[in-house]
Amino acid sequence: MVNLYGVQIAENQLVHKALRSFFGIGHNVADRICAKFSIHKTARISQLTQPKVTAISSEMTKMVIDTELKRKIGDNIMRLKDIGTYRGKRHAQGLPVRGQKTKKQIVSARRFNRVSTHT
Amino acid sequence: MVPPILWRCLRTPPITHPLKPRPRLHNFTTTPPLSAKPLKPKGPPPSSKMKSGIQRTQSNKIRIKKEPIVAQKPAYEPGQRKELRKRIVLSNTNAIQVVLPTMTADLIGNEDAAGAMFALPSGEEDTTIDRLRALEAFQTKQHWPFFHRPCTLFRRETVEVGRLFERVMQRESTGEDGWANERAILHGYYGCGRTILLLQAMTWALQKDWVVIAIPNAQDLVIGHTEYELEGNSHLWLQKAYTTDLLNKILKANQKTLKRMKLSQSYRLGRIEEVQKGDAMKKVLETAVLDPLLAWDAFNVLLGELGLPGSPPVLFTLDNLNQISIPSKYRDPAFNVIHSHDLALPNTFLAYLSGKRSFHKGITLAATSSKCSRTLALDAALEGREVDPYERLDPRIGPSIEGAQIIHVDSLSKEEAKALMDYYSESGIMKDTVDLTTFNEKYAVSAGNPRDLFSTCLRMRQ
Repeated sequence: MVNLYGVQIAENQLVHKALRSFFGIGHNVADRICAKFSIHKTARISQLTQPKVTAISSEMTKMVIDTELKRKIGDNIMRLKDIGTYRGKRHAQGLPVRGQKTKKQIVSARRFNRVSTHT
Repeated sequence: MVPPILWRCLRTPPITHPLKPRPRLHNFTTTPPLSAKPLKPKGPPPSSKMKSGIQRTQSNKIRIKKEPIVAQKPAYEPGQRKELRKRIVLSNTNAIQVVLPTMTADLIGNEDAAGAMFALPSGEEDTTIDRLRALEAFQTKQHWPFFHRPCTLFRRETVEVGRLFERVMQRESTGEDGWANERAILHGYYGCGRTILLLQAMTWALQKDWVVIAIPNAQDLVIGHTEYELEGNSHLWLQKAYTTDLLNKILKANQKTLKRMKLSQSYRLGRIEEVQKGDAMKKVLETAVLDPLLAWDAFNVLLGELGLPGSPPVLFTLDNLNQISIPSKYRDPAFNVIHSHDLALPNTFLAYLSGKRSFHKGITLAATSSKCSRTLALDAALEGREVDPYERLDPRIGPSIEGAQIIHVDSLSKEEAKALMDYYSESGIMKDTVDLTTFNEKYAVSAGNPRDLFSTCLRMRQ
């Protein structure tokens, strides 16, 4: 197990996949992180040297990811609600925010549009 | 009118005994209530002969028979599938043995031998096939498992490859101290036998005790599956893991020659390791194989030593040249695509192919591939045509193969096809007898392409 950004990650995990397990890191960002440290596509966590793991962790601390990103998103929604915008209101009601019709299905809106989704 | 039953009688509650349980009654019966048997509960009787399907519909409970969870054994162990995929079978005891002459080094440049089949050298003491195997000269899908032993066709193109050897060997035999370098690219349509020609060249080189350095598939270098890192001085990207593998192959294939090679000066490998003047080259490579950090330095030492007078001749081959003529899948820290020519190993090979670097005596041989996305710049360079300035082709590709002889590998001539079909027939994989009609038919269907000829000749399964 290797400690990456405070999370224990199995040694046989692909580096690219391990990076993508963090909220806010997708394929593109993971590609860029890998490129920055010259890590090839099929590299596994066990193949990384300890300085490289530390370097990746410190790189990730500079980015807005994981809980920090979730809090940021939540704060943005709260701001919308606090200043009384239509979008904030729709978030609070659990209804579509961007002008979709509400006659039929709005399942995604019900699931995701909450004031406290990401916090 | 007065009703026959008085309302008052209906309103009076029925008399019940407080202690006795009230028997459940049928709607209509002549049995006195107290002597009647109690009613059976609803639902099917336990020993009912009803179908299980009906039973299930009647009961509300879902009855699932729980089976104990058994940990399933995986169909393949880790790495087993890759091993199966890459396994090379070179002999088939079920195939009929065909007596053929051996492909020896005496045949180099022999035009009379063209159009005949030859067996690759094998025997009790001959390790050529094992060494070729170590160099990954044999590849899957070359139909080796259909035959009793590996045999190849001596073609017109084989004669041309032999000419390269002849020219280098002439210099060697006359004792001239000049440099003798031959550079060539094998180019042709799909399935025309470029890789087999490389194999034939390697066979000769190994028999003549040359040092053979072979990159079996250039694709491995560029698809981003091996480690890479930037080397500060040369601004090239080193692939140390791949280089270690390459050194391992070189070491396995050229044990005898490398043992005889002595270093002309001391070198430093990596930061600490040092090799002294007079050490055997084999020892250097054995040290480097154990530590990937030393691999690139050791490879350079090997190439450097092979460039000095008195060193053994070299055959440096690379298959699938097209793959290193397109951008690689690697990225630099600024997220720009790394050009294949900026990777150290392809760069080194192309330096030898274009004549920037040279061995003291040696052949640099590349083969193009058909299994690759389009490489317009390479095609233009191979054709030697003027590039239209409005065509935005990669400007680095043309100079990288400049001056290399292009050996066009054509489809088989009729004599060659006949020899090959006779061999298939004698090996027992061909159903029809080889007469003029079948020959013409199969030759026309395959258009003389060796790969297609094999598939047309292959006996159908009955």
